[in-house]
Amino acid sequence: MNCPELPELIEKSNDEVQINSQINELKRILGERKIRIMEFCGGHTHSFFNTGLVSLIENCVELVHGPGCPVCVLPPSRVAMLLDLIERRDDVIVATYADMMRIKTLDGRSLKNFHHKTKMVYSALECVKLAQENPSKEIVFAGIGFETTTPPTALLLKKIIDNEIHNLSIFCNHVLTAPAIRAVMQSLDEEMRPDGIIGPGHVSMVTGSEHYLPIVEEIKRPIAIAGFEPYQLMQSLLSLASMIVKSKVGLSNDYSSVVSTEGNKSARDLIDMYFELREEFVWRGVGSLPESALKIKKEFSKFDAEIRFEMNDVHQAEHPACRCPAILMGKAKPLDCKLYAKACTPDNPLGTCMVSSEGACSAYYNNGIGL
Amino acid sequence: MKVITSTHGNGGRLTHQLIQDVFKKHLPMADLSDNDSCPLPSENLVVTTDAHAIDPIIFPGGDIGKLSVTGTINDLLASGAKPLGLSASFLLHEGLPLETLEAVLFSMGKEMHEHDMLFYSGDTKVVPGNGEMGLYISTTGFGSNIQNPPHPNRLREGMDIICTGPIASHGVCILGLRNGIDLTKNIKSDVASLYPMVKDLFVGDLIECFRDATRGGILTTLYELTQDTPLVAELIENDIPISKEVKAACEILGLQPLEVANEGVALIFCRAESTDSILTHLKQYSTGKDARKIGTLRPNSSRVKVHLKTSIGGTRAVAWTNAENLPRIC
Repeated sequence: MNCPELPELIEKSNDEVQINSQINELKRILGERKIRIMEFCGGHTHSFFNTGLVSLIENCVELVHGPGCPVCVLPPSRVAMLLDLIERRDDVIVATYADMMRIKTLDGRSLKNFHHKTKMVYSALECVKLAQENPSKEIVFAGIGFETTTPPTALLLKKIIDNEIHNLSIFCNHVLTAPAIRAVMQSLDEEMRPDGIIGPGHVSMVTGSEHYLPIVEEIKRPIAIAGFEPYQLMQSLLSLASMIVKSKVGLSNDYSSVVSTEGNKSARDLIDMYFELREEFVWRGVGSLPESALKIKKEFSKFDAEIRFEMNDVHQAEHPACRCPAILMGKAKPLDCKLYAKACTPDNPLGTCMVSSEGACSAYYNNGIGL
Repeated sequence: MKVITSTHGNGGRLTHQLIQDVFKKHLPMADLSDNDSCPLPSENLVVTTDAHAIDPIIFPGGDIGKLSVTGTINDLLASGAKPLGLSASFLLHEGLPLETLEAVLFSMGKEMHEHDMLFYSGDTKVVPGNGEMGLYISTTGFGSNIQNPPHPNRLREGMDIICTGPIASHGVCILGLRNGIDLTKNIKSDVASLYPMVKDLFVGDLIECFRDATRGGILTTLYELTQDTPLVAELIENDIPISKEVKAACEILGLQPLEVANEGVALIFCRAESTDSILTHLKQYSTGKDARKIGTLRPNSSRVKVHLKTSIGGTRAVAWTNAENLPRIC
């Protein structure tokens, strides 16, 4: 059998005619109704805007942007802890993913300012080589992200332990999706709550779709798990619209080519082996949430940078006019912020939603909205 | 292995030897004592200047030597000038292997010979490398202007925008090399001179405006050319040439290909009636075989100068930022 290659399939499915027929179907389902949908994941926000899909559905769908952007939800205090460590220890090199380098504290400091003591990595495992090449340095990997990026950090920890790498430790900032969905929905008044949620794609690959079943019941809103291509986003909107018009609360896995019911168990086992729940973790915008983030288990604490270097929580104020907290909670849009595209731009970001390539403010700005 | 040392830069015998044995061997030196052999025009002289710094200095598709010459040529072309020659300063790191320098000068010489360009003057300095073993080349290009050169002030609404080749390959190639990304290892830089391809078009006065789209990609070029005009560039995403490999790498790394650097791609602005004949001409050349019309200039007072009809039929604007090409997290 001749199978078309995957990119070809994607291209065909993203064809203008195909997308148009999905949009017509959406309009048929909704009639005159306009629905409010929260896309939890920042990657989805960017897909909606960068592909121009937003322009095609704006009459029937209002997007409410969610908190699923790893850099956006990180409180400035966590960045300040890293900066303090770099300032007091000459032998420390902080390795982390790109966007982390650009987060600024209110006093204007960022990891980027210390380019001799920081290293941008594409994969957590690059830190192994970095540690081997710099035996007189202490490498600290600042792990960040939801369930998607946690398994690579767990794998790094496994390598550190197996290979007895003594000059490499982890500053863990990994957070969980479910508590964030719950917190956002609980904080919104009934009329402000979105009609449905587009569930994250990559996160769900790890957690599995069944992870959302109890959440759907709890928040009384349908969830549809989506991929990142326009036709996949449209499919999730069709699933949500069908449930919303029938006032049905359910779960639809519209990314089943990648997301299974049970998810990636070996990735989760790896996480469970090395990490445990933090009692609480402060989220930007959301505040302190119980059991919403992970920390390294006690028995591996000598590889936990927070313990190895006695990193203490540093209080950091946020910019008083920055609306990131409200934007992350679905209570405001980037255009509601006075700083947007004036004091706060991608070149000089004041809030994390502008810093991160997953953030709602950067999606608006890059698409020239309100400029 | 022979390497560059500080003695090569002290102006003494070793410096002289380096110039005689290495530089003069590869570069087509102008004989400045003979006015007839190296004429620079007294009228219509075009001068450009450009500094070249790239890490790594040798990369798939070229090296800093080729880049310094083709970059200078393409700069001269933006003024509609025929390249005649250049002068260059070389900053060499102590410890630079002599054979690397030879390879770079060989590439420079080869490009210059192919364009009948002369090397007018040069200088060399050796600087401490602090562990690095690179070199920087600063060039000044000389060219002669044609009668009615292309110019941004000739841009008008309704003009077509042609992109001469697949975009973003240089930037993706270099980003991949610098960061050891396996995904990009088969992607070559597009570094090339555009002169052979466009010289006849200039003479025929078919081109209203020409600009090689280097740092900042075609997005930056479009913004630079339109920002003081009441025009915007309306592009058709599906028509923008880009190789499958580069497109996939950009998607995976979270890069906007319109903002990624090129070294052998230009944007040509022309009257709509000239578009077909320009495209037919470009397609005869290896650098222009994938040339496409990618959009049109339209009147619009928007500050956002690039508007895109996306591949799914939607519309979006593309803002111009200074944000670095940083890959996304997940």
